[in-house]
Amino acid sequence: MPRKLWDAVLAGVVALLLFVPLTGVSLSGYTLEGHWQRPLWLAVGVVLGRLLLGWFLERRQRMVGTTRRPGWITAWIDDHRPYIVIAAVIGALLVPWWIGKYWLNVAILALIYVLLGLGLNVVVGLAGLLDLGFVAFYAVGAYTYALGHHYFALSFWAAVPLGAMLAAGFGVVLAFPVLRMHGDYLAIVTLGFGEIIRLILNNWLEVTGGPNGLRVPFPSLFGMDFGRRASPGHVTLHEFLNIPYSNEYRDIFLYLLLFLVVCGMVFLVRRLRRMPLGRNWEALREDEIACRSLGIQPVTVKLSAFGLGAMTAGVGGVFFAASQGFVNPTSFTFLESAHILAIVVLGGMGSTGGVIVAAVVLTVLPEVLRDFAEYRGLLFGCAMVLMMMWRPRGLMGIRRARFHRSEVG
Amino acid sequence: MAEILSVRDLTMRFGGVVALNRVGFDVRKGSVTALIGPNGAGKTTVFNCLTGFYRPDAGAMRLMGADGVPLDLMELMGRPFQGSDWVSPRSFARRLYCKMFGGAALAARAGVVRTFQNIRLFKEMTVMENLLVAQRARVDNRMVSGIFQSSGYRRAEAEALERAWYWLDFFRLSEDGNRLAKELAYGRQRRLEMARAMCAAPRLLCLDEPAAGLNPNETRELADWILALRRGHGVTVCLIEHDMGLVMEISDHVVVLDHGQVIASGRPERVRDDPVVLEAYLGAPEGAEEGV
Amino acid sequence: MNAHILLQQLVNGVVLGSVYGLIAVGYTMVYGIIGMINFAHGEVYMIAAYLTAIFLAALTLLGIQSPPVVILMVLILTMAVTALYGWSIERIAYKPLRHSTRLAPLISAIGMSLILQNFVRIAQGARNQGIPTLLDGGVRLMENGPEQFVQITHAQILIVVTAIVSMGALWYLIQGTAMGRACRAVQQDRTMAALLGVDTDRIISVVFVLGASMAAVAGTLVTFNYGSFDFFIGFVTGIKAFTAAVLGGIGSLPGAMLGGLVLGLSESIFSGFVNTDYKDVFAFSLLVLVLIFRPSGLLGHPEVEKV
Repeated sequence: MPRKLWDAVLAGVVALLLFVPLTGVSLSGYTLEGHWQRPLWLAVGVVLGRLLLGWFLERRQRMVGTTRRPGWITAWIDDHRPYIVIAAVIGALLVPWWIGKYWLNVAILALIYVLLGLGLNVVVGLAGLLDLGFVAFYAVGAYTYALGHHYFALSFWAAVPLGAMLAAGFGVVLAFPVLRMHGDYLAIVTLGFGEIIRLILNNWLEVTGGPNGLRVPFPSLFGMDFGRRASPGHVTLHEFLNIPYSNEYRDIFLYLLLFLVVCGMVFLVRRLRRMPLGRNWEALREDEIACRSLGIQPVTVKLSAFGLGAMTAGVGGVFFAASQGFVNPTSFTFLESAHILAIVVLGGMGSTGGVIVAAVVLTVLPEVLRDFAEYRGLLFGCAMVLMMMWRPRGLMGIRRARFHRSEVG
Repeated sequence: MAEILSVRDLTMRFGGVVALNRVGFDVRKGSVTALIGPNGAGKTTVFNCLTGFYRPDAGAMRLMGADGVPLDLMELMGRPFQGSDWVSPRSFARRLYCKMFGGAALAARAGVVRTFQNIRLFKEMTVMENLLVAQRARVDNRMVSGIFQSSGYRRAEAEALERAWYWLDFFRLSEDGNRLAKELAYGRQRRLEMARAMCAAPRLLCLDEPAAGLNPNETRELADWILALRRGHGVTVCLIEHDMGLVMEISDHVVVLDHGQVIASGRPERVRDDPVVLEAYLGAPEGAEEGV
Repeated sequence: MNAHILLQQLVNGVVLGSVYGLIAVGYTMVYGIIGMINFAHGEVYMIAAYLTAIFLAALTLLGIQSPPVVILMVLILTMAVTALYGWSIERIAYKPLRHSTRLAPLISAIGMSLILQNFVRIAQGARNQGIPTLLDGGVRLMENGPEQFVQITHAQILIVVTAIVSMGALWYLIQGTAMGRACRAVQQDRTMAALLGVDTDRIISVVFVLGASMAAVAGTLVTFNYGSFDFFIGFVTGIKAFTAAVLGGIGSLPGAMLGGLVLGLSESIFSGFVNTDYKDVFAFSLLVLVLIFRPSGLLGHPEVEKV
């Protein structure tokens, strides 16, 4: 006990040394303002945190050797899985009709993050490749639509496959040379690439409009517009269906379309995980050398995961551009990559349900908590560090496919 | 009987250290060949060369293909480009392919499959999944047919499952099929690694110290399994082993390495009585004096 | 091509290169010893820049005016506190995860980097900060007209000299002391070194501390030279310094310095003669090209895979 206390006090002293110069005073012009209470509170927090951590580590030490029983929440979820899925689908289909325009936009954003989370989950959670520039492929998708529309009058329906292909192409070209090497290189190259894409979008004024961005039109449905008045040669939806005009229809339409895409992605990932390709992803994450000794070529398998992830991001980007009606480079900063990575990490690295829940929570939270935006980066960072200490393999544990001997023989 | 593998003048250096110096030996089809020697003699390096993890500096390794055509393993490891590679687009493409993807994966596809001294399993995956991953070549790998579960895909998957169950039964692991590999006891992990290697359809199975860490009973079983593999499944086995009892019992041919060189080879009992081998194992002076 | 511009860009390149080299040392040492990229290293550099301004303001408030004394004291104080940051990063983001999955330390390090960046932003405000000029003036060479000269400022001289001195000190620490020998032993084979009684945990901490102090030197010098910084400078500079480390051959100390110089020079020439807006794009493309064609870098050894 005294040893633990001593550790905590030591941590507090270190914390004071760290925090006094950076938080105790703040720069104001060429002189300083004092905030002496801030480092004190932080240090107190560190002491308490260290005590808690010591207690936690001791508990874990005692648990070594005993297999962890799933908690009652996990057990309950496992038992009621089909009901939960059905309830979630019905809920998701009902939601857009009630919540109003503001929350509808939040819901669309949440679905986009679900899609991005599922895509990055394939790369990070299943294939074990750390992609820190995921937002670059998201940007490729968004700008495919924006630039395509601006220069070639590309429609939304053409932009989705084109954006997906372009993003996947970028991903493959970027990752191919790096995947042959030590895994960390991929992380830093993608980190750099994310920043480069943003720089190019920002600086290439003649083509991308720079920081001013580009306007993006709303998608049409079978040639019908969602506006109050039809553009020349088009019909509007409310006239066609003979219903009163509402500006919510277009958002509801986009929401339902996105929901369909997300369902498709969930289905795809689920299938892939039970197919040779998906198993190879996971096998590579576990042990690359063993994979090679069995005849699996790491580069092609990794490329497929990376390309699929990039493709999803590309689709997400097209939807993002369509829902905002406008794109500019500030939507594609590193913090955005961190947001998606936080979704995957909190969702439990490989668990589809976890990623969906995490994406929804992390998108709705900022709308509920006013100060969230200010502390977003800090919280994401803390979440990543703590999750890695606590449960590096995720909160819920991944359900694995079970095999039974067929009776036929 | 024909040779399935012939190794000639295999040489490998790490910086200034010569790990292998003109190593040569043959493995006959359907035999059990043991590589023995003191620690650091270069046995695992030979394995790493055979299975494509290292590219030797010089030498030749030829594997008899299933169709009877000898296959140059050195070629598969992605040797540097040579003059003749630039002549025809086809040989250039092949060279580029080997260079990009070459090494271990291509060696495994050619039929040289191995296990590892420190067991390498896919720990967070189940036992069955471990075995299914190994059947890469047998299961339809196309994405589309898998996603829509075409009948061809389902048939291939069912066959793969059946084969996986077969090898689980063979190594008496059937009740562990749905457990995570990391949960198995040590001896079972060794067996799982062998079962997984068998699922990859090897023509030459390379076992790196399969008996390490096993108790006498388990070693006994291991001997039976290796003999059964050879007899019942026509697999050629090449193994590195320190347990002399096991080596003497199951091998047809023994190659002794020391300091990266082959110092003796032949039938087990002849090698056992060879004074050069005793010297290498026991240290020169005593062994030699007793012999005299 | 104008000879004056070329020479001026070469001078700027050497200065920039010394800075990259100082930061790259941290990447290369950490990579050499634990085989991982320290993603939070760029933020360490950014923190050093803030600490420099804070200590400078504090010393001014205390009435210490003489530039040499101020520079030396700021440098020492910044190095000390930044080193403590380096140590804490290792304790929090790396040490608890030494036996975890391969991805865990990478993710926790990137989390650490986010924490540091946002922590500084919240504590010090998001706006651009600056310090007053301490060293002005410089030496003009080859002057033959109003626009025709090559200028080397005193601050630039300070950067190069300090960089050389601190690199020299580091080189002596690694090559000439018992602790340095232990570092090299751990780099060669961590398990073996531990068996022989080297306290590997302590050595890993030492490496983080040394790397952070070098980044602190870089942060202080750059702040003295340019005078302005914000909470985001660690990000791009970190990637570039990592490029320098890879260029020189990751794991090799002389490689980091050489890589820094090569990157600094080529980047200066690129921005002088081609385009300033895309100099970061250039540095990054260099990283990818090096990874494709010479992953072991200029001075590194090709990695032999452990099977």
